[in-house]
Amino acid sequence: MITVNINARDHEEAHVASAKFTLPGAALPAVEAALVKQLAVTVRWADEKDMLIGHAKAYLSWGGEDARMLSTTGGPVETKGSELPDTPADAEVGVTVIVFGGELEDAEDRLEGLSAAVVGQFGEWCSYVHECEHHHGHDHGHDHGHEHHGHGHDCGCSHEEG
Amino acid sequence: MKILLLSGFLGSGKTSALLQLAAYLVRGSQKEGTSVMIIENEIGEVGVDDKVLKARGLQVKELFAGCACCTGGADLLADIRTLRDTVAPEWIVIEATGVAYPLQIKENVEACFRIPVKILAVADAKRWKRLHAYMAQLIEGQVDSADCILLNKVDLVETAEADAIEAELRGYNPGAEIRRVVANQPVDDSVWAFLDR
Repeated sequence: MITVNINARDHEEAHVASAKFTLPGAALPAVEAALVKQLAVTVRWADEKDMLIGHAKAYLSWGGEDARMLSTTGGPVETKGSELPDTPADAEVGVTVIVFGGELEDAEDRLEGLSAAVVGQFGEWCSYVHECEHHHGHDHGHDHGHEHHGHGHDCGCSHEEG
Repeated sequence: MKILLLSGFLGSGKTSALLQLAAYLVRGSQKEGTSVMIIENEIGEVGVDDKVLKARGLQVKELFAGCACCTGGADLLADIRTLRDTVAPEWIVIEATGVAYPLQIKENVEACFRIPVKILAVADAKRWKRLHAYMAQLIEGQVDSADCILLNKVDLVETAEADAIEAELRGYNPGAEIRRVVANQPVDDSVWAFLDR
């Protein structure tokens, strides 16, 4: 079970959703490939929903200052940063999606789907911890969790709150 | 201590420009030790740009508490005060979030520290028309108070389109210096001459 920390909030017209998780002992090139694929899926998702991608970006790090950065503003996903090692390592992943249009919950759902799809590539499940700020009727700091089996699909199933 | 504020919409190329700007400032510094400190304000809870900058050996302070033009304003002032009192760098460069209004940050910082703040804005030539159609107030607000505007990604548009965007920029900010760049490729040092004016 992989714990995914999700934070979502609005900033004026922008819906901002972020996710963080760690994949232990993962093949880093495979993690990067999964992130590239899912950021591209996110671009298509935004187009289909007639939302504007402000920025979708992610990092993949494996200790120290070494990291890979991935980003898109609606076109191809660009990658840069340190060279990926061949040996498996604990992959720390952070993703932020900033969109305009639609609802904050849409961006949050997409982040969950993205996380589940990446985690699912490694045969793992997700448990989400949400830091709620401007929705669910709670103030900052209220956490809740639910589980989602990530098998590389877009997050289309219903979630049971834990 | 001098303060520069870097503004521009999400994905416009602020971090790419900052990498070159910081290298220029470090090269020109007479100060031993840390001459340039970067305050990186990211809108998401996950910092990505700070990792890019740190990987290049730059000194970065992250500010994730919110956008410095509104909810994170007090935290920004506290960070500047701490850096001034501890590191005392020659330059503090603040990279604003991609949804910030830089004039609000400039006014807050100048009122608090009595130091003039220069604004460098980055405009994305490739997405300019679409972004402006979608959110004109924000896009104009990110360039209308700048001392210098970098019209970035000009390699991705026709010259006539870059000309039209530049004319538009001049309309929003007649006093700004406007330079056309491709920020992910080396830019000429003359681009940074506005810092000395």
